[in-house]
Amino acid sequence: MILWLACATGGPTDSDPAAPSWATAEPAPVVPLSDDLLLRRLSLDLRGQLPSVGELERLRADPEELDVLLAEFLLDPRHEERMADMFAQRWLTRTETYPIKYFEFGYEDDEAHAWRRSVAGEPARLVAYVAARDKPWDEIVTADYTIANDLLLESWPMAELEGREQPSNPEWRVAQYTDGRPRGGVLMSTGLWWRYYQAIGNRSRGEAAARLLACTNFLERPIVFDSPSTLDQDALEDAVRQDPACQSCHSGLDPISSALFGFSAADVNSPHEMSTYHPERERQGVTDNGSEPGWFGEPIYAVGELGPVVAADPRFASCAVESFTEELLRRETELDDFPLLQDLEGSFEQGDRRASALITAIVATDEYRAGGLLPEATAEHEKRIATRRLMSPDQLADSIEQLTGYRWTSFGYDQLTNDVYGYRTLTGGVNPTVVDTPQVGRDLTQGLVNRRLAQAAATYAVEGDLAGAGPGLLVHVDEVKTPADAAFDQELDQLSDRLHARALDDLSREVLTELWWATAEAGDPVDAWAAVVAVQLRDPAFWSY
Amino acid sequence: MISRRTLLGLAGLGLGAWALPAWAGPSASGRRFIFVFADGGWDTTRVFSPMFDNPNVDMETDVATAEVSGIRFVDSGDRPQVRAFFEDHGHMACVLNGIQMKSVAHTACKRQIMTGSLHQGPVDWATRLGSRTGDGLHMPLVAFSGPLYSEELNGAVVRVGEERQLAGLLDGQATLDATIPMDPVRADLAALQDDALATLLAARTPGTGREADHLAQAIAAESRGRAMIGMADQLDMGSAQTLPDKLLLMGELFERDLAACGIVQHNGSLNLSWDTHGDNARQGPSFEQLFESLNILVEDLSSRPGSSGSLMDDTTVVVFSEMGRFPLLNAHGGKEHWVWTSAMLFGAGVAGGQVIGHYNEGFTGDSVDLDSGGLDNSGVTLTPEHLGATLFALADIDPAEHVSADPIRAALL
Repeated sequence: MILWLACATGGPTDSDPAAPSWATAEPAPVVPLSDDLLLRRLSLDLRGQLPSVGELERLRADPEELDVLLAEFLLDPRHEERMADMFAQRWLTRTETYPIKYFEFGYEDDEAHAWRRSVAGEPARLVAYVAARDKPWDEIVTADYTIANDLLLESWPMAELEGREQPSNPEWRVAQYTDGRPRGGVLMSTGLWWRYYQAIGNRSRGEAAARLLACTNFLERPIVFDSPSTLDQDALEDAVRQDPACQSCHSGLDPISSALFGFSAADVNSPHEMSTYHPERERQGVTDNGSEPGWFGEPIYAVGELGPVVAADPRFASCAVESFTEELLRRETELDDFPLLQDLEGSFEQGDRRASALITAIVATDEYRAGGLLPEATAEHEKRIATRRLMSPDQLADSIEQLTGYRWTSFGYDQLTNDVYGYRTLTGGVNPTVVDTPQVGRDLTQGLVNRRLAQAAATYAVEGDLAGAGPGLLVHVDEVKTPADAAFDQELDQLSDRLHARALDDLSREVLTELWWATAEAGDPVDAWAAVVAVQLRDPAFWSY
Repeated sequence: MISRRTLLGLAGLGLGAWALPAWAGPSASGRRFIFVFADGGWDTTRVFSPMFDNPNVDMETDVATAEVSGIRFVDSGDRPQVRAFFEDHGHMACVLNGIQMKSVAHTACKRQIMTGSLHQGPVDWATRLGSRTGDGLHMPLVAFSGPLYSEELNGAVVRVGEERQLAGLLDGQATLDATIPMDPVRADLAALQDDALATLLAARTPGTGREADHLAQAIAAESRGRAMIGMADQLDMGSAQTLPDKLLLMGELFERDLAACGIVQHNGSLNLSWDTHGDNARQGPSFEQLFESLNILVEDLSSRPGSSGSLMDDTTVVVFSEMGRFPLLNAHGGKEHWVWTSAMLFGAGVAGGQVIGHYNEGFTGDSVDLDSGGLDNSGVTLTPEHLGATLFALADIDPAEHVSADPIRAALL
């Protein structure tokens, strides 16, 4: 929407190199991250996990390797998982309340979390598949397939699609609905339209489609009902269709809502009704909404035509740029970001609308690579520029599992990714019904979650490693080695490298050594190493990147 | 150099680098706030707005207008708790009728009623109040549930979790219940870790921007976390399941000077939400349950010592919903969303025994004189910003710092 606003005010509409000087982004007053910390940021942002020691060593041996490593990250199987996490968070799809419940499909309580995550995962994984496979972005609204796992294949009318390149996560497969719905990527996703559930005139779905795919937020436009004449349901609907104040939103919203009537269930309590597409209702919006289907002034007859129309809308590409930029810079874009967004959109278009081109351009910006602020930075810079980012619950859980082998689950629930029994919002994460933006600062409950997880994971890993059957977090020491052995310092050095991507300073070495001694004296060597690891996992150098 | 003996000694005494945490200490202001949020959109005609003479409004049958303690409300034999509330506490309650919302979507209205804006960015009233009045407390704003937009002030918010997950984090049960169960680290060993981490953080160069923020936030969060864990066996955060339970726990947290603000969501009768598109008859039982909880809250706060009298004398309670409901029933016996709503303030600092604002024949809000509270064609339409400004004024915070609207001065003592 920002690009559109800027266009409306007379700004340039493409990335013409001869664009006027105002279109050039002001250099950000930032201090760049060190190469090691930049690699750590890239790895966490693009793969959701920490860089390996080997990757750090490659970069240290040759700084030119950064571009090679970046390209490798974009091809890493975990990149697709990370994109799914990113879009699930942005699109607020990971809800825990659906109109239809897991038990109505025959699942038990301990499968509830997995089932909900599967439903929520469908649209985000389709987007992630397109991004990670570097397919043209248009495919998210034109694909003739979706992405599904066993639970979805059992629950919904769909079948695996043979002969397609499969998602990197073997639990998920390319699939296709078998209920006759037209192609349309996420526009035809049951998961998305269960999340954005039908309301009067299907408008919640129209609103979501506009917000997610065109970055046009109808909900931010104020409405005013000040006329007593509207005090009648029919009069209200008439006003929606005719009153200029109402029409300023509804002329855009209602055609999109009308296009999605094939998802309207006659009985919202029927799993079959809710899971199945209804081609016979595709035109029902014409009578219910009084509006022909369409997309921002472009009429269509039915939803099968919607995907190409969305893809052809300049808002669609601009929204992709805005979405990736906001997620990777960790802030909302504003009107004065127009030059930046314009440049990035140029890169996106030159890259045939493939995500890798866009991501590569974003992570090359000074702002993305910022590690600190220069003295001339203003309070506004301080507020806007994410010189450090908090690990999301997904990143925290994945990174700690990567290091220690410990995944915090309970009764079938992944504890950092749910709020039913777990700690997603208490870890700063997003829950569509409670918190709609990730936290930017550390708070009490994040500290408590990190504390408990760090202590449990450290103990689990150290017990295993010192018994010779662990995840390989400790590689130099055994149960009998103490700080008097050279291996002790080597271990501290490699831990600091793996966990923080930085060399251990003298004070830290001293404090951790004394912690080891004190803990070993009060407990045993397992306690001592677990303490050393846990403290490093609780350190901002670990969870802030 | 930090010696091993020093570390052990500090841990044994329980005096680490965080022995005097930055967050310890009494609150600067004695004023406390509790936000009680009716989730889904309430029908104001069931309690706050008797509109029996208005043909444009579908009222209930077998109900009547009553006036108690200066407050006119819809009285029903099925809702004795509502009547009891106004009879016993109406003198300290102020009903605000005719608050204009700018949307009919739940998400947008929740943001607007809590921040005054439809846009992302502004911090919600509760977080702002908690961060100011609760500065120095371990739990400035306790969030059981309800909409919050804390943005850069999220450090003030302590989320309890829908299933009171905070309790498990404090007592260590959280990892014990895991699929791979892990015992909590022994207290003396945990203290050594805490001391080591505190020493590392205290010695660290803060850097600039977010790096400095994260370091400061980490020091504060670890300090508060350690203190809260130390209180885990005296503080039962885990058993508060119902709305009254949660409100009673708020009283305890206030009395112990651990918290300054709280927000609790009411999900309607039988947890079926206040969003009654299909059956508006659920509104009555929901109001009854809500007011029963408010009666319990007042009784509890009145029994606890405050700064000068009881805690009720220190506490302002805000009862609100994100929207009202369309005045006419739909074909299913439900009511759709409406852009005009009501709220109720009661307790400390509130000029009670009055209703400010009024719904007209079109069931929209009439203009109000903010000084007198009376209807005034040259006055203003009440908005969430007026509510926010009033709350800031109650907390001795200049409303102009955060909102463009003036407080409803008539609602202030």
